[in-house]
Amino acid sequence: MGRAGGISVRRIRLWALLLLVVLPISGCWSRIELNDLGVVLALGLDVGEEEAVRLTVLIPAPSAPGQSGGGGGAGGGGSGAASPVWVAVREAPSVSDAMQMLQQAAPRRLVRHHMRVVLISEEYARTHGVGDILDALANDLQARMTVRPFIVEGRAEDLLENQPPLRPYQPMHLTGILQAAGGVEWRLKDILVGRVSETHSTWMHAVKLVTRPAGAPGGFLLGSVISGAALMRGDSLVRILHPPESQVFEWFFGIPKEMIMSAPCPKGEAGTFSGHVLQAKMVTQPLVEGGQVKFRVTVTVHMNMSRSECNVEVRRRSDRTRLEEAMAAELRGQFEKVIAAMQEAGVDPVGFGKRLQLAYPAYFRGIRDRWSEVWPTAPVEVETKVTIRQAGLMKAPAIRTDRELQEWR
Amino acid sequence: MQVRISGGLYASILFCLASVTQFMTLTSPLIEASGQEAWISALLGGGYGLALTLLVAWICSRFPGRDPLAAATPWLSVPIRLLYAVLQLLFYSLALRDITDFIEVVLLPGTPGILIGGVLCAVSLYAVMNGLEPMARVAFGATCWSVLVLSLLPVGLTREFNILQIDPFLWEGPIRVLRGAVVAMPGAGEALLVLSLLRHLSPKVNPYKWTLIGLGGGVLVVAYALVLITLVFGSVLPGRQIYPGFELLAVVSITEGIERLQAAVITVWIFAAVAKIAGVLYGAVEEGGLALGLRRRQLFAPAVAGLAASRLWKGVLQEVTYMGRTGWVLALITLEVAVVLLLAVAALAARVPRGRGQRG
Amino acid sequence: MSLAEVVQYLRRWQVEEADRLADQVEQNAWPPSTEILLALTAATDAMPISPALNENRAIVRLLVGNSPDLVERGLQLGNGRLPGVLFFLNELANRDQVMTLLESLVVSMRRESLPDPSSGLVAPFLAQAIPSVKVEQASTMRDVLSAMFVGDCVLLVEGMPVGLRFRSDGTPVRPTEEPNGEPVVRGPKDGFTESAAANLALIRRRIRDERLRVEAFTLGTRSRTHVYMLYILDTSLPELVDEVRSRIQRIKIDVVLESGYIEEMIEDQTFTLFPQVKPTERPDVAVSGLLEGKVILITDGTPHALMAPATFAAEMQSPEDYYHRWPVSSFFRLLRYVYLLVAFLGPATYIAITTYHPELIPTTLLLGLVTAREGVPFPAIVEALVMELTLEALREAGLRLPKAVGQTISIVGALVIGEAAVRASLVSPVMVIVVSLTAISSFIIPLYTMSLAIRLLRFAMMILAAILGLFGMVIGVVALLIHLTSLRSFGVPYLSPILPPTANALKDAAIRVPWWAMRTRPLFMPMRNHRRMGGSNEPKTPRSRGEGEVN
Repeated sequence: MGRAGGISVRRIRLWALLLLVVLPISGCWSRIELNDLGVVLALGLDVGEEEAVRLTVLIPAPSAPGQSGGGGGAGGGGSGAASPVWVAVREAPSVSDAMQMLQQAAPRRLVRHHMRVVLISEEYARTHGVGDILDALANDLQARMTVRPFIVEGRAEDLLENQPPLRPYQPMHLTGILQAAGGVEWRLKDILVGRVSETHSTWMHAVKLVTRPAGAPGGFLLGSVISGAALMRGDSLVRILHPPESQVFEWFFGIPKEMIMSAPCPKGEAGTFSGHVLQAKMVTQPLVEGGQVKFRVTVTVHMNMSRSECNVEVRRRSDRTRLEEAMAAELRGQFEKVIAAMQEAGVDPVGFGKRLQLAYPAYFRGIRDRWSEVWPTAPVEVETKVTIRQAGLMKAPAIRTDRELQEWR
Repeated sequence: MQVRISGGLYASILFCLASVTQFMTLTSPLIEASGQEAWISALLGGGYGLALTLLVAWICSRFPGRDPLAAATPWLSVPIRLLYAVLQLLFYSLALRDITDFIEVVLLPGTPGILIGGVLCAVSLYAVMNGLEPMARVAFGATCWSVLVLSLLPVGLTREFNILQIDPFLWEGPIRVLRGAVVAMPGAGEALLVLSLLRHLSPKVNPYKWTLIGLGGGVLVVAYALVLITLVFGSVLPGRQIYPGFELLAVVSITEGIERLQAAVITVWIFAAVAKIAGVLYGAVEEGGLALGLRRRQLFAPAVAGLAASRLWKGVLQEVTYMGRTGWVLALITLEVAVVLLLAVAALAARVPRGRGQRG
Repeated sequence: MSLAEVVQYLRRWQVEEADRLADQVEQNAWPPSTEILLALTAATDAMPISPALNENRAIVRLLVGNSPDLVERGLQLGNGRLPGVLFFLNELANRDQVMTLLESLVVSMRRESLPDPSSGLVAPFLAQAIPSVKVEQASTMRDVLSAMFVGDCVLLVEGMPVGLRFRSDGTPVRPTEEPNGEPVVRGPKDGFTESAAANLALIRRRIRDERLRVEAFTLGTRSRTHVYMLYILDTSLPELVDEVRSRIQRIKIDVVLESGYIEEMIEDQTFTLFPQVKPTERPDVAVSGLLEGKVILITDGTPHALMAPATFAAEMQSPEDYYHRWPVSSFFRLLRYVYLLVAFLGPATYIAITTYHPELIPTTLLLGLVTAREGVPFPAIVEALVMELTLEALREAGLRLPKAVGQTISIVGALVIGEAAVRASLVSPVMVIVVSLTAISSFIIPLYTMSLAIRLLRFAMMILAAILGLFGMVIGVVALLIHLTSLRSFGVPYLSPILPPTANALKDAAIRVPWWAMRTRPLFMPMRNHRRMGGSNEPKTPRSRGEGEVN
């Protein structure tokens, strides 16, 4: 067979074959069978009673073979005989310790690949800060950057134990709400980008459980809703914006589909009118004059009118203009409120600083250390312009107006 | 029998060499060094690589058979070949370590790295034993698929672009871009493999054009990836991640069904990675074989040596590979330039007596 | 009495070898021992026909070993009553043709006067006088024996130093019918049969060109199988033809029962699962191969003709691709390649994804799969192997069952066993789906040997996927690709025209462009003349051709 430097080819072949055979026998390291998987769909962080951290995980429980998986179909909220999820809670000094304790109590290997939401309670965010959990998620191989963190006004554990009506599991419910609304997708990646940035700060969606009291007609109802936007400075929570400010706040990131806006009727009439937004464009412009920075926000909106209590006809130009002005005023008011709230809290999640940096890099380089002091006092002008295109399928309300009655038409 | 490969195959080998590990491991240090303009650094580094390879191509085309070292005296050619083989072996072990670490961390946590390294080593050996042509064809297939996937990537990433992630041009300053270029240089210089490839290139084909296409394409891909990464993640965050290229693929999420596709896309990358390490090993083995007069059976030795060397360094990722440490970067650049300079000297020495002989 | 005649025969020639054999025969018992018989058989090439009829008869009887199907028909020829004998083997010779021969030999020749045996004119006279399709002279015992074993009759006459061989073969032959392995919906339905001569006729009917050359070989020392090599003079490269010829002539084997024997001995590389010559039962496929410069080998005794060289793309083609319209053909060709991948990688992908990469599965599907797999005790690889092996068993069993029950039992078996296994939680329902889909996909591959190769490779990929997940699968595919690209079939790279990509040949690989666009034959095939048709055959309406008015 020939010797090559002391080792014959035959020997080499034998060794190679041996290695090949040993390979499958020695066992495969990173494999896990499907029925040994515990798929973690959501993580919840609260302040613990005894320990620092109270961690909750939500894992769907497989039904017995032969039945369909996920019991969200029949029955209202949470009244099925057997719950299709397993919500487990542990308290520990840190998130990782709590995770370890959970794994020790779980008969399946917990994997976080499919984790969709991370719920952090408000109390936890204000006291503990969200830094370590965000970093842990960024470090984690299994959890990807597309996870959505939320701030919970209340307790994360309660939210996770609630069974949603229209989707099989709570995390799907929450992400479903965001997807159905359209508009802004705000995920871990965006939050981390904000955290390391010097030009803007981070924010998260806020959720909460709403309850209808037991005595009310229809019975007791418990459900989760998106309750606003939580603004953060660094890693700690400073303020939570609620609707309608939070809705307008989100406009800076993307206009939700079919967003509905209401405004009081023009000329002091009683009642309100509403329209839904077809198209909206927002331009944020920084201006530096004499070493001072100011911003102008221009909002252009096209909408269709959907409902009106006001005595106007959309097809008459003068009426329409009045409606448009009323809506523009309302919108401007809301924007000003949001911006004031942000400046008061001293945070800039929307990116005024970034736009300043892009427009005037040299100037921003000068004030980059002081941006957090400059921003709260920078004047921001808001200009809004609303155009009402039409009112859906009707040209005029299906009632005889005063004018028509007068003119005997 | 002289194996002949066409221009396209040659270019795809160069493409794989210049883009595979660079996409995965070089992106983070580059962004850390140069911020948003890391793509300029990549292009500058690529320029260095092009300069080296085009110079080598020019030297080689002066000689029939495109092998200047064959015409040079053994005093010169053997040390040069050995130096070159050692350099290729170094590239081999570094690339092997990079790829193994990546697969171990991302795809198969828990599996021992030496096993993954061993499997890759065995496949590269098998490829080299079958000659240049099959390896070149694998590289060609990998290149086509990579280009296709990369061109589709922005479609999945459109929703990730955000003005908040954009910085003004040259925000960090041009000095940092130049620093980044230095970090990018050794990676582009890995294309020095052309020294072994040119003699197999079909003579009807223009070597400069195909070198430009291959190496240029690879460098462009790295620059393109850097642009996408900074558009999606901003300019600070990727510098903190280990594998921003992987994160880029992982963040694609179009619908409920089309997300978390990173493992599937990585298969294309593994394809190209095998082509790359096979190519590098081929260079080491061919030149080493010509220098030392080794026979085919002794192929095992350099491959196993490379595998062993790749496991030598113990330590945290990024400390291990040359991508992170300045000392390594400068040492590799020096080695690469040294090989080319020595080659030029040998070529001159080989030409002069012939020139004299013709005139006299 | 035979002993004496044999010895007499042997001593007549005064050859040392023959004398020695005669001594041995005399010394030993009668019938002679095996060694003497073998020595005699080995020497038949040199044994001439003796003028003494008795000696010839004795030798022939001895050499054939007094076989019961040997017929010795004694004759009295002509009005001189010249003794002769007609030798033939009972069932090999066609009785009608033998009767015709005998009729002319016995009846018509009764009043003829034959020339004197010593004049040497008997043989030509008889050759002229006896009606037969083909007449040859047999000058050695070897010729006599080979004639008899083919089914011809041999006439030996007292005093004639040669024998006359008359064509009368007529072994029962299967009528031409549609080939089982390559059925088509549209296209000719005749297929090759076991008779090489008939197969040659089927090809000749389609190429009525004298440039179609046929070379005959006889392979196998015992079977003496006829093998015909066909090629077209101005399309096949002479080097290819020479190479094939030399490879065939190199074969030394005792029996050739099927073209598969030849296939393995003329291939470039045997240590591979992939066939490098394409077997076919269809004459139209063989003919189109001839026109592409390939060499065809027809083997007697099997309907499978071989085409060399063969590429991967050629083996994935179905003849119907050329008979249906081009968009349909292109679509089905692409589909075939997709299903090739499914057949090859299907179970492996399932195993890799479910065991190593659960993140690739959408969440709701994953939860459904987890539920479906509840209660299954085995790991996915074991499940897959068990299902695959059961399916293979069902398939093999289906082949051997009688036709009437075979289909039913395999289908029923598959359904019932699958359902019962799922109910008993032995396998998960998804695995059943994956395995069935894979099985169906593997039937889409037109070439049976290729689908066998894919089946085996599938097992290897499953094991790789079970050990190393997607990484293992990629490594397997890369290794396979390296192997395939280094494979050559008579000098043509196996994966042409995809790798190396030849633009003009890609027209016919994954899709099929209309006939008028295929002006040249594939350029990667070595041949002399690549032009298939002249000018532009693209159909045009009369107006664009500039003729005629359209009202």
